Amino acid sequence: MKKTLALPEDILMQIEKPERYIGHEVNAVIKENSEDMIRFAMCFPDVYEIGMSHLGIQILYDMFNKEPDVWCERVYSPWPDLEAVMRERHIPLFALESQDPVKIFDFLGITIQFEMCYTNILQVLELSGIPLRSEDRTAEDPFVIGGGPCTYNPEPLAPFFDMFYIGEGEVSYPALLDLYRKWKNSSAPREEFLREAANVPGIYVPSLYSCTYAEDGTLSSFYPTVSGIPETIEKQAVTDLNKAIYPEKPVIPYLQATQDRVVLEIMRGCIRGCRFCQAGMIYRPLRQKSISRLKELAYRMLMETGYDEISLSSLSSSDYSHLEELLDYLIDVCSEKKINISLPSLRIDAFSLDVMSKVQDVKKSSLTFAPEAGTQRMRDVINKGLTEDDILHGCREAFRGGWNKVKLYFMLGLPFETEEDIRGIAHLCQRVAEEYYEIPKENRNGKISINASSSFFVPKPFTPFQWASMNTEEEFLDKARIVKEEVRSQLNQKSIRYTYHHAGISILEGVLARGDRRVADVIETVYRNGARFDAWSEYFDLEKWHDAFETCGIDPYFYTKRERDVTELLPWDFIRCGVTKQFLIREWERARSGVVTPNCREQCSGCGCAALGGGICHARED
Amino acid sequence: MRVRIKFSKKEPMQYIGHLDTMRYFQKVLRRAELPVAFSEGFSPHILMSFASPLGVGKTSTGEYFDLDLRETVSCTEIAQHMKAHLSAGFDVTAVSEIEENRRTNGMRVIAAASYKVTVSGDLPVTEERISHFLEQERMEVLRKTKHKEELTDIRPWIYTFGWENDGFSMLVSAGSVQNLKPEPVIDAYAAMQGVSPKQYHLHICRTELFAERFPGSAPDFIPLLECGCIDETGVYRE
Ligand code: SF4
Ligand code: SF4
Repeated sequence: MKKTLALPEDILMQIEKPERYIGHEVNAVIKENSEDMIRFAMCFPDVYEIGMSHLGIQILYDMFNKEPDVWCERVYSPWPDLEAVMRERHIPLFALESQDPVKIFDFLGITIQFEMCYTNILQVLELSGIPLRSEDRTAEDPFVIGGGPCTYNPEPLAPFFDMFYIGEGEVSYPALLDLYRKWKNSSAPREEFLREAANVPGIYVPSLYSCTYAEDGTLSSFYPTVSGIPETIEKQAVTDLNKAIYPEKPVIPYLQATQDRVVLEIMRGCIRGCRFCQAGMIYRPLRQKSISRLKELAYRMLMETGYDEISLSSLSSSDYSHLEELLDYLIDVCSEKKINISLPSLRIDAFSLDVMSKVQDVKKSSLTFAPEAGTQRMRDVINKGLTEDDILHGCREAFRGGWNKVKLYFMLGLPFETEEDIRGIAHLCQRVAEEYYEIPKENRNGKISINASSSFFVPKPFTPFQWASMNTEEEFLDKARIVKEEVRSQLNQKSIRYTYHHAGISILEGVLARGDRRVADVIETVYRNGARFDAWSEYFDLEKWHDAFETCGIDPYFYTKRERDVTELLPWDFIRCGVTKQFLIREWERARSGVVTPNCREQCSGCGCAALGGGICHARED
Repeated sequence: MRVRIKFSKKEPMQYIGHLDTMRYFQKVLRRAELPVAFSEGFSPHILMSFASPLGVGKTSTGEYFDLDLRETVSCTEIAQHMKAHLSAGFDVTAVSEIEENRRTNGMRVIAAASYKVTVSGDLPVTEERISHFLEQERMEVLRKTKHKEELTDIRPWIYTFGWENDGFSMLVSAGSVQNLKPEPVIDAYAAMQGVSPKQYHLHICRTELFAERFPGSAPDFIPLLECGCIDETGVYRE
């Protein structure tokens, strides 16, 4: 190794888990640095163990490092203990591979996976010595580029980023790098590069766009401020996943990451179109990898990494056309090599129960269902194609097979929800318990344990519910209380454990998810007041956020509670994510009348994604 | 067959904790495609057992683990296969085949460890001071156990202590009976010179782990590699 560590020994010995900061992991890429080398720092703005588990970064890391003149390195958020020391001793944030300061890099790419990491983004910028706002940056600073699901409404973060990449990184980065190579050899100013980058498909340069607001606070216009750049930004999507790069030699952390296993991405997108689900919309269309490619990848990755576990990654693995063949293959290979298979949550039926009983200890494992809502009416509203019969039938089979633990996931605060739907959550749990006690005592495996949990519904951009009103914290908690009481009043209450998420965090998520550029001030203010790691309950401080809203004169309910009219100009309307607004409006209407929409495999609903070229909209799968 | 593998852990791997080091070697063994033996059950794991854990921040040239294999492989081959898959900072330096039936579980037979300790900061060292230090009949230091702190006499657990080239070297009791770390020894020496631990910083390298030559033979020790070795000629060492 050419260089010592960025942090001196005394610091490494005083902080928690020094392994987070020393790099040198197996398969980490070390290159010979040179003048021409394009240095790309790829950041996941959360702690190492979380960030290292993220597949997207591993894919881009691999892709960038295949370019001889690009050296991509990783950066994660320093934990607060290290942050304090870095500030005190003026140590700049560094990338793991070279241990060089992020400030000297050409690019700082930040993947933005969830809203509650926004303050961490500012932490990374500040600790790197990069001005928080794009307008204050100079030739000394890297270009800061954001990607990931939250960029489908990038506006609350607009002032902090030089660019956003909308869509899948595999597609447009080559063009952006080419442009950068040319610009680097010229002596043109920073603005020049940004100006040209704005014409690369999928690249949004927020400083080149402006907006105005109407008196009622809604957006009245959004427009480019210079000529010759597009008015709308097109999402980039890979058309053939079989040809896409996949990291066969992912970086293997020493420190145990959340995903401590081979992760095999089997497909992207989802056919189902649940109306609350942003991932289901923005990652359309469904694109599958071929079974032969997957077998080859799985084998190679297991051999190259030495992991003792493999898991499948996708939004809805049960929908993979060749799941049975793939699992048969994996069970074969893995039993020979003593490798564990960690199953994604599959739809519970005879097939999945059979697979589960082969790879897990039935006594220890639990069945997972995500009915999301308590009544069939509500499930029709959200287009969740899972019926009570599916659940009870699945449970019956499973109980006979020896299972006795069930997890059920629900949402509260969905549009058009009635009290009956809320109580329905408890009723469904009760029916699952009854199903268990139908089994003759001698065939039962002890008591049943049902774990039901609800999250609070947060409307997201580019979903049919993007116009919906979101509940207040009090409403959420009232609803959770109703469920709790209903559970308690039932016969099998002792078998049912009901928990719910942090309502305050959901509200903030709601503001940030559908916010506009004015929300940026709140993020900066709360960050300056010390907010960090908001996704971690031990650090989350709702008071700080309330204070910041007040300081900035911003009403959070404007963003959460207010139901939008479908004619309103939404902050993210300039992005073309594949699904058209007409489709979303149609789905919003169908939700209102409780009409389900068939999935892509049953029938195409003309959502607009066919125009992206590829996937299920074109080739009917073999 | 059961083999004992000796490895070193150098810069910057001293920050990798004990459990993570174990997990690292499990992956190395899988990548090296050695015919390792597994436990039974739903999540089988490689049958390996690590000797005394090394604290975070310490380097070592004398770490060990025992490994069971399903098939016979020569010690040299094992070393070579593993070396091809090690990352910088880790190295396999010796492999020997050991008896399978013994109470030789690597962890249980450990009786002593040797350390090399370099000091940055001000700590006067002369031969005279060292022999003066060793002349003490008792060396009481405050040791923390799980629930309390108590004064313990560590003198009986120090077998050798001296200065070589640029640092201290010592042989002290280790393992399940009396595990003496090198820090309290240096601290006791420093205290005698009127120097407080705040005035220096230690770089500790464990250099070897030892077993008693035969039960009760202390301080007559042999390196762990030789303990229970069944084929002297087959041993791989560097
Ligand atoms: S099944 Fe529904 S909730 Fe799950 S990813 Fe697909 S659309 Fe989203
Ligand atoms: S165009 Fe049709 S098949 Fe393609 S994603 Fe949309 S609804 Fe599904």
